[in-house]
Amino acid sequence: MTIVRKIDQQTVMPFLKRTESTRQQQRTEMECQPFFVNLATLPPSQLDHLRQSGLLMSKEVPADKEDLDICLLVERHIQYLSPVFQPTLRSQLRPSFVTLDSSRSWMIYWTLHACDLLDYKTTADERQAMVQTLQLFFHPRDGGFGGGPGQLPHAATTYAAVMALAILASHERHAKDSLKNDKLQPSSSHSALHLLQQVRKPLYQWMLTLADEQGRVRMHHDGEIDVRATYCCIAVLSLLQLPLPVSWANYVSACQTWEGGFGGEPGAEAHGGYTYCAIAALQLMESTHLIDLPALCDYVSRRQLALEGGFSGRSNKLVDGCYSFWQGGALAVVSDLLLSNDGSSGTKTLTALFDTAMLERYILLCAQDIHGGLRDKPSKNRDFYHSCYNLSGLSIAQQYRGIASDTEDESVVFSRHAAVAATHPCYNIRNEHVQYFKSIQWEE
Amino acid sequence: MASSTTTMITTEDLPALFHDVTPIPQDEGPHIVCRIDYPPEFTIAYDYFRALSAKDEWSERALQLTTLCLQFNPANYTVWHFRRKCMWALLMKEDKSIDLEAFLVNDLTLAAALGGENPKNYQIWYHRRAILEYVEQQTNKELFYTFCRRELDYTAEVFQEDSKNYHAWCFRQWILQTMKAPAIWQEEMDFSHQMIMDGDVRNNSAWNQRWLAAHRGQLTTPLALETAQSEADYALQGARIDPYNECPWRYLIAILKEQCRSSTMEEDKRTWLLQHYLDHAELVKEVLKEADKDPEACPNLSAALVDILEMKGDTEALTHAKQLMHYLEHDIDPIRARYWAFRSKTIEQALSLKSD
Repeated sequence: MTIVRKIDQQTVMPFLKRTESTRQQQRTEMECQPFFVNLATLPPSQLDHLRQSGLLMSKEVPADKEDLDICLLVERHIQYLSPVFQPTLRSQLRPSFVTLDSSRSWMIYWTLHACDLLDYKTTADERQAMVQTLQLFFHPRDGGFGGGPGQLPHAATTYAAVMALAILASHERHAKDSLKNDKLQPSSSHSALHLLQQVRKPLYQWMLTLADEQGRVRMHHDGEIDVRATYCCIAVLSLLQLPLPVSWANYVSACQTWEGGFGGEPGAEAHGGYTYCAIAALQLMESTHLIDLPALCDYVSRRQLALEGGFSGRSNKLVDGCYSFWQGGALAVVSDLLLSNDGSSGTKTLTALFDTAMLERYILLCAQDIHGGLRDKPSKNRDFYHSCYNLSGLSIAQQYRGIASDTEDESVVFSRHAAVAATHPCYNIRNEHVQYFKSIQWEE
Repeated sequence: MASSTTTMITTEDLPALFHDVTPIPQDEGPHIVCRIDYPPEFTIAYDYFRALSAKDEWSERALQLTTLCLQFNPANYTVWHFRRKCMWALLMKEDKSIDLEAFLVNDLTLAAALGGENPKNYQIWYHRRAILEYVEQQTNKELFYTFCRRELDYTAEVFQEDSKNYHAWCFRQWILQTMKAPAIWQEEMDFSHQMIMDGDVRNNSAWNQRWLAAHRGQLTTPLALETAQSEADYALQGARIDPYNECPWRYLIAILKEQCRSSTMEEDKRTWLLQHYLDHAELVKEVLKEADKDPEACPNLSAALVDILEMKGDTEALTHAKQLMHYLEHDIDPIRARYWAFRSKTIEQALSLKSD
């Protein structure tokens, strides 16, 4: 990304009255702004520094044809993320991770999906260990996946486990193809596809017990009700070709607020995470006619911040890299509907109603940790969750670039060193995995 | 009883307390990934937890153990679930030896302590809700109201640390909806007013709360015209404090949209209402002029004008809206250029239909 668009026109958020919100916003703008320099104007010493850091390609071309595209630090991100799903003692997570002990299926999904977007090829050992681990997280009596062995099944950790298994199943297939049935076949009992086949029906039965007669879905028995639960169940049911309880859509549509976005439950403030869950679930249920789509489009497009280029989660809140996917993904789905983008054919140019170049810029410059991993904003530490959703958002931005309009002048140059694979906006695993799962004939 | 549940135990107490229990280690399998290097105390506590959970022992000592386990990881929903089983079982005991109020307040205090100053995990907030549901179902209305009042105060405390804490606002809304006390909504109007006007006029959570309170919790019923006007006036009052602020403009537009969609609205009333607020929104530009700012370069103000003009829908209004959108797209809101271009197209279609 050589160029920062209209560098002289960078707009800070204007205000007349100073409040806590404007103070925080100013602080955030100040921490992001230093990253938005026009690289062509930097002195050679600073460019060298950027090359050494890996953010620029090392110098091999003549000075007048300098390659100033910011690089995605693929190797370093993989180095940071992949130990989570590797079965070695060396890769153990620090003791402070006990607070994520109920989110282990999430950690597997976050890191595996992020690496998958970076085209990381899992080894047979890794796949087998992941399948065995996730199998331990399955609750045989109740029928869903928990966050760890022996934990209660939970809609969110079930979503994470099933999406991770779907990625693995797709990898298994490719590994098989490349081995041409030579050797090293994973024994079928340790295959992700086999596990999914086994749990498919119990999952369905369990999910039905999470919903009440009004179509409100709980995260787990004696757990909270909100649209995350609806989405997590619908995404799993849809991917595994199980019947969709479309009556759940009414509760989801009741969560659309006066702002146009969705809250976690009726009356709650519109919020990027819930907005994504709501629109993705409705799209999978083919029920988007129930909601006010233009209002939703207004809401989400307003969440992109003028100076930072990234998205915030709510009105008058701060930019956060994870909303690159929650808001960006939601707007991708909305744009598919409003612009009649054809999501299924790869040939058509997909466009989303936000500034994809500015989002890419935020992710590459502000969200990348130079040591690998991605983050909320420059002042925050990297983590697995933000790595996953920054990269997923980057994938959406790249798929939905569209054709530059006349207002997006030629100064918008995309980085040639930041390409990631295409993720599906409704499931958030790679499109090809979704295609594969659509073709599977399950044993009934 | 209440005193014994507040007694905090440590890992060292466990072997004596559970001398008759065989701990169950976690089944980690031979080739597990995403392995956490658990601190030894964590492992000891959770090994006992698995043992008690396996035999459904809903006892006082089990309750104490869950406290210890939650101190290590307050996000373990399985432990919270088990804790509630223990609580309800202990409260069901025949001898009625437990002071119910003190017992439950103790748990609210624990949940607050585990969450820290700015609690943001789902489990601790759901625990509060589950306790209130229990009080609502198992006791009298008076005690339920006492708990509700206490919890409303607690959310207000949390807002002092983070006035936009999402969980706290959701919980607060649930309390208000569950109390079913009509008078509470006027109090909530005052509360949101203080949060907005004395606190932070950009606090969108507080504006959202105002919407719920103005609707008296009935989200699918449009406001009466009179109330709608007073809410629209309130939004304009907010917009004049800072015209760059998105919240009051969106609030205004939502109020007007709701009225215009209401089937009881007569056509001439509708036209009058929209013209009235179009004029008053235009007047907010004076605030910008007085502050020596360009009145035409305020994206949220212009966007609101576009929305009102689009609702008006006559040729003149749509043409004006189109001009504003052009300016938004190219000059004052270029980050949303694609969005404004899309909306321009929609307006052009509407205009071409009119000219046909």
